Amino acid sequence: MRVVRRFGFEMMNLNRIHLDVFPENERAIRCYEKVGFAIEGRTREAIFKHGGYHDLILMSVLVGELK
Amino acid sequence: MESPLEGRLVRLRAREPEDEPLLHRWFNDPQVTQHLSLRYPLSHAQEKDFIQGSARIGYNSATFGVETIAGSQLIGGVGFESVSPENRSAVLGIAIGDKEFWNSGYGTDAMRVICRFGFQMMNLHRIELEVFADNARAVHVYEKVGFHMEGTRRRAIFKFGRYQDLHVMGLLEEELRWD
Repeated sequence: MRVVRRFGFEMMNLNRIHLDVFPENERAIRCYEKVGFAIEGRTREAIFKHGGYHDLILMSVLVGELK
Repeated sequence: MESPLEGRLVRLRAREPEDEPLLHRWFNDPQVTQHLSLRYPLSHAQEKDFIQGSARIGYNSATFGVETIAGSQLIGGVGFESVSPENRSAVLGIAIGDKEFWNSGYGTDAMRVICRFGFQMMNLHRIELEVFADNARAVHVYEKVGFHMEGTRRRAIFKFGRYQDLHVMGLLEEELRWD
C-alpha cells in the first residue's frame, strides 16, 4: 500500500487515490488508515454477495496527506 | 393503467435522430454543463453517435429523452449507467437542458419517473448518483425524492481551475417519495 501510494503521487502525479472496502474487513480498514486513507462515505447495500446485500466503505487519500 | 413512463409533468421516451440539434445546443451551453462532468465542446458528430449508441434501449443501455406531457416537447434526458444485475444497482444521470423548464418541478418529476422505472420495470435494488458538492439545488431535489447522502468524494473532479468535492447519494427500493 505504501509503495503504490507513493508511486501514484510521486511518479503518476495523482491528486487522489480512492478505494472501496467491506465494513467488516476491519483489518484492511486499519491498514488503509495507517497509510493515510480517510473514510469519506458508506454506500448502503451496494454489493450483493453470499446471499445478501452489503454496504461498502469509501476511503481516499489526497496528495499531501502522506503519512 | 398508469403509464410507467409518465409522471405528473414529464414522460420518458426513446431518443430519436431528430433530437440531435437540441442536444447539441444544450450540451454546448456552459450554464447547462456547469454542474455536469462535461468539459469539452461537443460536435454534431458526437451527439449523433450518442443518440445512435442509445438507440437500442435495454437493461444495459437504459437512457431516455424527457419530454413534457402537456406539449410533447423534449426538455432533457435521463438514464442509467453501470447497471449491475448481480447487485441490482445502477448509477443515474440527469440533465434538464431546456432552461425554460428549470425550477418548475420538471427535474423532480423526471427523477421520480426514472427511479420508479428502475425499481418497478428493471428490478433495481439501489440507485446511486454523484453530484457536485456546491450544487445545492440538485441535492435538495435528490433528497426530496428520497435519496440519502452517503458520503463525499473529496477533490474528486477538476473543473474551473480547482478540484471539487462530489457527494455520493443513494436511493434503495421503497425509499422513493412522491410528495
